[in-house]
Amino acid sequence: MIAHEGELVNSVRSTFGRWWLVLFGVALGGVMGAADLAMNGSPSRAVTDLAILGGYTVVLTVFRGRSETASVLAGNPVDERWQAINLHALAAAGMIGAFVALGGFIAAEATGHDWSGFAIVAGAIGAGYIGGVFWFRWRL
Amino acid sequence: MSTTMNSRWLVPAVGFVIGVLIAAAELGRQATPWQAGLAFAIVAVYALGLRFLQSRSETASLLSGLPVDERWESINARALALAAQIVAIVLLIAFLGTQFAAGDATPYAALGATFAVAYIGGIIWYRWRP
Repeated sequence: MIAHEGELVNSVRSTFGRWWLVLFGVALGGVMGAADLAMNGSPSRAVTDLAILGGYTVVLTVFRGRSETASVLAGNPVDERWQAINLHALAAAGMIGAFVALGGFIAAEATGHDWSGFAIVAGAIGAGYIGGVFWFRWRL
Repeated sequence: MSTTMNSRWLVPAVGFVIGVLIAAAELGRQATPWQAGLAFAIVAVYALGLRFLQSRSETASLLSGLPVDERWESINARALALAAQIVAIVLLIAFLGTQFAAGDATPYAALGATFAVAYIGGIIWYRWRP
């Protein structure tokens, strides 16, 4: 799966060159802007969404040749050390996300608020983690 | 020896605390004691099951937070990273879907922001402490 994902990402990158990330950011910003427009009917907020995501990806693309951190954030770790940093940072974020989702679920349940959002996220982390353990158990 | 025993009971103990918190939250919402007891029992049985399978199964040991060797530490890190990437996509889709449906996207936005801060904080942290 990882190898196929890598081929797909590489094929997208070679097609769009170094600006593939900006295209992705603008596309995502466009969808977020459309969602904001549908909800609030505010064109200025929609343009702000597009500008934030487009601007972020432009900054990453411009600086990824000069900064190793920007390179990781752009999805291109420069060497094995940065790949390990990326892996550990993702693992830490996953673990923190799990605790926050669980805490949010308990707090929402206790206060009578809607807990379904926290349950979905906690379920996705749990399923992703346990699925990952079984997947990598056979592949490593 | 006592440190090992403490480590072996850490995840089950955390599971018990989480079970108690969930049961208390259920009771706070006028659930019956049976419903609260069931919520506690699900978490407690899972935690106890992990404790008793720890020494027999490498997978149970990992799920208890005690990877048996470097290979299992690597499996743990990769599985957590995979889960984090899945959650990032789930959060994005849920946020956008809720926005389009004019619902309350605050939980997804808050979790997404927490996730992003944790990821970027992790990069900065491990950059100085690889």
